[in-house]
Amino acid sequence: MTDTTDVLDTSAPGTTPGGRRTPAGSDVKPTLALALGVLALVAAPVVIWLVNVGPAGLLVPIAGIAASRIAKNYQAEIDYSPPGDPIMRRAQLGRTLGITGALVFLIGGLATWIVGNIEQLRTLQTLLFDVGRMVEAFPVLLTEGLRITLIVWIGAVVIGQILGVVIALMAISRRRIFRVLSLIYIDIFRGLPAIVTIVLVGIAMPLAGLRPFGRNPVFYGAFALGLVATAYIAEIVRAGIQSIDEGQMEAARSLGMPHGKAMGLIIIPQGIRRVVPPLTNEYIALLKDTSLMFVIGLVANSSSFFEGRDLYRVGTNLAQQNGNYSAVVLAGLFYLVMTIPLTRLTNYLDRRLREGHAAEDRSFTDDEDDLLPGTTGPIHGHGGGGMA
Amino acid sequence: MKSGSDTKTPRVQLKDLQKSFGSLDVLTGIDLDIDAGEVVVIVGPSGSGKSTMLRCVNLLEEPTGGSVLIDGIDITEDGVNVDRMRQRCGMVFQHFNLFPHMSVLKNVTVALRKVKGLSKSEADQIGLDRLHQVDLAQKADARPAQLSGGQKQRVAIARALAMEPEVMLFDEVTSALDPELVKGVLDVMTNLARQGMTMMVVTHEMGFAREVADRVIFMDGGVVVEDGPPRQLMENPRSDRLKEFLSQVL
Repeated sequence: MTDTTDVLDTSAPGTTPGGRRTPAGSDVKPTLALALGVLALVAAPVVIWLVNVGPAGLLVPIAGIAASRIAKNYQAEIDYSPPGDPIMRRAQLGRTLGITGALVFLIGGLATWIVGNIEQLRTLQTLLFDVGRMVEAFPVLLTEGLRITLIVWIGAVVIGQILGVVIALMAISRRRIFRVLSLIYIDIFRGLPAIVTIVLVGIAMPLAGLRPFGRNPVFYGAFALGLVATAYIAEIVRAGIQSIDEGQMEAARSLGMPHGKAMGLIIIPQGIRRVVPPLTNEYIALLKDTSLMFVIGLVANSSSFFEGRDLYRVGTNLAQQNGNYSAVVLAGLFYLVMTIPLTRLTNYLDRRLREGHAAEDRSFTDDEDDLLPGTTGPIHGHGGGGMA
Repeated sequence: MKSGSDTKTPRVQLKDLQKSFGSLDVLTGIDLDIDAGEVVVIVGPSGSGKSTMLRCVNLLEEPTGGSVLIDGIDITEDGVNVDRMRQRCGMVFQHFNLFPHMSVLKNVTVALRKVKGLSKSEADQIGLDRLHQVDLAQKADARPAQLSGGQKQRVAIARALAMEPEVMLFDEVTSALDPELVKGVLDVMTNLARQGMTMMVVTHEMGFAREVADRVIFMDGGVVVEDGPPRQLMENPRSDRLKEFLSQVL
């Protein structure tokens, strides 16, 4: 009959005449895997609870992982094995035992360490997670810290977004002087650590008598961060605009639109949509960077809505007063409550951009489309509803 | 409507038109007169300069020598308002270049409103008329991404027509389409030709050239090699280059 049947019927285990590799009793790897697996599982409790062998104990999880690797490697070599083949089962058993042994070592070791260090851990808990301290810090963090952090963040985002688009347009301008100026700006403010910019703008500038924002350090902080954000946002927007297909500009110009109108009506709206995910990322980075304002030395002040300390400063001040870092942990939670949803939103927007494009490809495959691969279209395409 | 009269100024005139990209000479001296109402199909092997010539007519490419005249006005001169001259030349592209962030109707009306300054209702009226002309009025509210390639190309034609151009330039407008979608686009172009539109059409559709063109121009190596009625060029090619080209495309 067929070759396959012949091969199966006539061949001994091992490499068959047809070249198919089947499990053979003489194969070393399954036995080796099983031995290592048994060894790991037996040795794990021994080295953790019975005999202290020091760092040599690490050989146990290594043996377990080795058993798993060898078994997997062997399974990959085999072209065909009948269901329930004893040699394959031996390899699989070695694999399971090895992984189990490694896990026992890991979890058992961790549990033992925790039990042995319970006192220090309790101290750590009171130092970082003292509920009483947190309740105490919460109102200050909420009314002062969060307010100032949001003021600085929103200020920096607004400044960065407006100036960023301006610098981006300069970067793609047909005038060389604009391109050079924007390049210099971007190089400097992207190249400097944000904290240096904040010190220069927030301390050195007022010290030199330049006080465009009066004496409130919050404004200087927001302005400094805005300058930094401008450079990053300019780069993002520039890349977005330049990613728009040249044909868009040509089509607009062929309709008689002047260059500026074509940019404003056709190119920039598409470019901005395309860069929403990286922009959101930049906003998140800015939110965290507001904490760098500590170098300006914000002080508590309840007289003005725009004055006071940001989340980080409130948290660290309380920590210094009380010798307890629970307020800093709570400040951290405030940041997370804002940044995690924003990150999720970014990922969602990013996914919608990419999947939307895939959906479009499925519907119509008869053209190359007016969009470059992996770009927008659908973020607006599906918004109006109708198609999908 | 076809003029044919010798006393009239040609609608489009190319005089010793030259274009180089760096050291690459793409057009090496094109002389061409196109009368109002004429349909001229431009054929030639790839790299012969057909598209570049077309793009010079509305200055998407700036000529490096010679001149382009629309209705006797030299548009390559300094001081000419290029944007106004471009309104006289509608252009349709191989890859449609519809604006993906706008509805179909907005694609057609955006230039009417923002360039010609028409009111929304005026612009929408013209836009719907033009969409009707290409048989896509029912898609006015759709997004370009929801259309097939053939539909996109018809919208692109409507968009160019909305500006009431005196010349329509077609740059390989069916090359990116699946074969079954080509006919719908060619039908729209044929109707347009019958209505007396002056058209310059770069295409590989020899059937369209034979049926619709008043003149066929064969380009090779950046010059016009042959110029004449379609039947004459296709049945009695004089140059070896055209003979060879026809043997490959027919």
